[in-house]
Amino acid sequence: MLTEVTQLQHRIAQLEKEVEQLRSGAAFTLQGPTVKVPPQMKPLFDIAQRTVSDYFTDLKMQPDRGTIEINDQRYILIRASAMSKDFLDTIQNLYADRGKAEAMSIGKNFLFDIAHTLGINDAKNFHATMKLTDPIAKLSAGPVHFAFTGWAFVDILPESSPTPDDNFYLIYNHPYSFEADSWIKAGRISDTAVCIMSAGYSSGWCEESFGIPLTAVEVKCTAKGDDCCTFIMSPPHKIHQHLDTFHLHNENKPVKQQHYEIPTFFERKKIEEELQRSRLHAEESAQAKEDFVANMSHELRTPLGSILGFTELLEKTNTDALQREYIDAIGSSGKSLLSIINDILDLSKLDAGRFAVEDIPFNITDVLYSVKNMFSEKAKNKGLAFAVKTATKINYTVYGDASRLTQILINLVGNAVKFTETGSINLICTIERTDEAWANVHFIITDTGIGIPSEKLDFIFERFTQADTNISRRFGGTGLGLAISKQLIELMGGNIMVKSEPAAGTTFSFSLSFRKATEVPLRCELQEHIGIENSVNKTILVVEDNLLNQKLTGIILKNNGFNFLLAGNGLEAIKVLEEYAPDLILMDIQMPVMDGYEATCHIRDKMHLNIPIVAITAHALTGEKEKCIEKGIDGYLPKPFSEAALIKTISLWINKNRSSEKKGEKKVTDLNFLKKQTRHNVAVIKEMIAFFIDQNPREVKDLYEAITSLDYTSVHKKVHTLKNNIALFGIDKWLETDLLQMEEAVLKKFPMDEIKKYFKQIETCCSKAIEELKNEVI
Amino acid sequence: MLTRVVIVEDEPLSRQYICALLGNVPGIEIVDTAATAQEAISKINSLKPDLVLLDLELHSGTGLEVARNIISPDTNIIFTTALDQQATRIIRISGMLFLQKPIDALELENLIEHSQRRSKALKEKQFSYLLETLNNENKPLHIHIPEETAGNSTFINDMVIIQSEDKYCKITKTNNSVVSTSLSLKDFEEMLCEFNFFRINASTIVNMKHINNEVPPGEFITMNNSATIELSLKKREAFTQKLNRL
Repeated sequence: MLTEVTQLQHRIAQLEKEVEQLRSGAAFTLQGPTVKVPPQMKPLFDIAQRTVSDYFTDLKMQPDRGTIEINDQRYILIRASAMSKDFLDTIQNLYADRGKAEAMSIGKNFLFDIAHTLGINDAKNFHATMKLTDPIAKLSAGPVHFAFTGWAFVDILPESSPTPDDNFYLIYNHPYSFEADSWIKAGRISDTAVCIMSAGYSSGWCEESFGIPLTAVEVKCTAKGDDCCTFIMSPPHKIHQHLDTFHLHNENKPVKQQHYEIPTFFERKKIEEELQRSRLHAEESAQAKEDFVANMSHELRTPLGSILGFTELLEKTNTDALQREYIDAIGSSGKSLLSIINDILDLSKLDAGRFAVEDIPFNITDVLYSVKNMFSEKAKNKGLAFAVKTATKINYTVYGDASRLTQILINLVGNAVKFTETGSINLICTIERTDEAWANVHFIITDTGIGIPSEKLDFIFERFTQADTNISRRFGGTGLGLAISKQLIELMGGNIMVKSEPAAGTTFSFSLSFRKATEVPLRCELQEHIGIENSVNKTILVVEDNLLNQKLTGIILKNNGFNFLLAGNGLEAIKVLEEYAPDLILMDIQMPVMDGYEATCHIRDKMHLNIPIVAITAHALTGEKEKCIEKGIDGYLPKPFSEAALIKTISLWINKNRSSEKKGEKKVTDLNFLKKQTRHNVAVIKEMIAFFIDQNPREVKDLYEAITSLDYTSVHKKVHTLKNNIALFGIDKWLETDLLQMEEAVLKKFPMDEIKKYFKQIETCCSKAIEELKNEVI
Repeated sequence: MLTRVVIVEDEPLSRQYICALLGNVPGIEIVDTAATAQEAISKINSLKPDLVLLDLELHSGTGLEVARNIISPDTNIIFTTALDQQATRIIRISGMLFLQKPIDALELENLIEHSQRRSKALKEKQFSYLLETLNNENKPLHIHIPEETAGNSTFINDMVIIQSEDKYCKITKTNNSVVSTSLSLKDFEEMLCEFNFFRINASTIVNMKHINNEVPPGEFITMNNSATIELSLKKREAFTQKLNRL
């Protein structure tokens, strides 16, 4: 009885102690070490045990909330067998079609991957929480943590040498492996080792601790009847070697017969990295190729520009018939070489997927008529009828890439002219569909030429293909044009179609959708060729580093009556501008010391000069034009340029009034209003100027007569008319106050002498305007 | 179908300019031009164009005179004028379209498009407002509120209070109904204050005919519909003067 009481009291004391422990948060009692290690490692693992048990004192199980937390981290309890035997059985069923061995291998690799990643992540989190930095301390916490989380009790064998380098070697037993346990409890004997997650997790932890890739293989497993579960861990590339050595020492069977399953984690990772590397490499080399082609085309264009330019100059010298023939040959060869270079550059950009299509307002009819102008002479010379037929409503301003549309039409119409000997060529443009925002435009190019045999029709859009090899001999060409046109049309969202009958003719057609624009096109090409009538006394600054190009440009300018200054780079140009005030600057973009962009910024922002700047660049890349405008450059001329193109561009910009404003002689007229409103309809503007020059003096005279005859009503009407007309030429800005005051004076019937004062101002201004308009070059 | 246009403009330079601008507008056919009012009236009535660009101030006669004699009431008319806002008042009150000279190409194009979208009934209504004004010694009786459909109409005399609210204006009528419109208070001031309307403070215009005369105006004025509105201090003198004139 007494003993029973003592026993009960003892039991009560024990329970009270447990309650106390539970209250203080420690959910377990340590009876002994959590890991077995060789004696020399013991001090290290004692520390590890303290660190880990510190960590786990903060265990909180709250079933009423469904949470388990340790150190504010959520944990979940998973039934161990679910992650081993049960899981592998499921996979076996799932992948039954692959055969037992492969299905097992899939399942094992999956378990290894997941456990390896868990090990890495748990290690990271634990190290951070416990502020461990020393690799040895980080590693030694592993097996202890392993024990605390219920993964395994680790028994590290004395042969181990866990150094943080290539020689890392760890051999250890798991006497109570949860994975092997699940097979034994089920009464099943496995034919392979099953402790995959243990291997994956422990190697993951150690990998994270030492910062070197590590893998582990189970060499003996109780699930297949061995006396214990033994693992070897090492860097992946050393594992085979260690397995062989282990086998040699521990087994009696020959090495060859022993099969170890090695996780493919690192193998797969390696293959993935390989793939990534080769993808990057391929991208780099595509980029390199594109850069090479772009640079090459630049390098080729520069000397070709000189050849074409000097040929053009040579044509103008005194030559005999034979010399002329030779010069023509140089000229036409040079031009065809240039078009081939341009084609190759286009193709390389299309291939690299870096072909940007512009989205700038333009007028479709403008494009059609520029194509018409280009080919009408050629067609006429061949005796061909060439017509451009358009629906009247097509006169839209739309967003799109005018220069690429032109390129396509030039190619298709050019082919039509080339392959047609008699008959006609039509370029037809109709609207298929249109609503408020969009217009679907259909382009058709027909000819009555040699046609294409039906069996060749499928190939004509391929590169370097012409319907017949004879064709290149008979007609010339590289066979790139149609390939480029097709790709360009597709890039703009369209499709090209072809119908043809040999000896009857060919029809190409394509449709494109354009977004309608409300803005007026920014870059209107002038529709007529206009020469410079007043080049005398105009000075052009040529900024160009290539001496040959400098010379060529200089000669062209001199031949056209300009004075010119030279500068070899941007910095030299700035020095020239400190002393001289040229009327226009021709600015090369790519130059040593200081390039064209930088020089332009300096001229505009630092020197505050408004001189028109025309960029000359061999960068025939999309976006370059926009960059120029953004930097404060007015015009843009791609290299190589013809004499006509240079003079046309100069004439376009030299009258921009910027330079004359600088010299202080302000113009009273400003044609920008008319230019903008009529969309650069030069013919109309010229007509209106002529009309104004003819009519205005009469109006001024009429006004004077009305004033002298003291007819207030008539004066009022005449002033009103005058005001109306001068507004069109921007003159009203100069007379605004005079006109307003005059109108008021007339309404209030001031003495005519007073009104005459205003009249004087108007008369002077108008006569000055007429002088200006007479000299105006549009 | 092309839009057939007649241009009425006595200045050769302006005529040429307008022709050039129309050349860039899709679907336009210029069927004729006229320089005098007489010429314009006979050409418009015989050619029956879809659209008339009508200069307000012709040497012989005015654009309004031409408009008064146009037979077909649903002809699209766009007046053109170099005169200021004041002079276009009666056109704006009727809701008819006009362009300020020198004409801007884009504005022209937009207005042509807009003019074609108007319903026949709306065109006729606006035209009738204009004719009504011209026949009433240029004193408008109706005002065109853009938000009104062709079936509705607003008598100027029915409007009691016009108040600005944000970007909009709210019109209170004699029957106490309220109409909202995108016209600004400034628009109303320009169009109506020449007549018996007065802007009594920054956000309100009142019809002086609807002021309750039994309550003497002071810091506030009272309307016949018993609304009381603040009369701004600096407006008081002008207000009293105008009230006495009426």
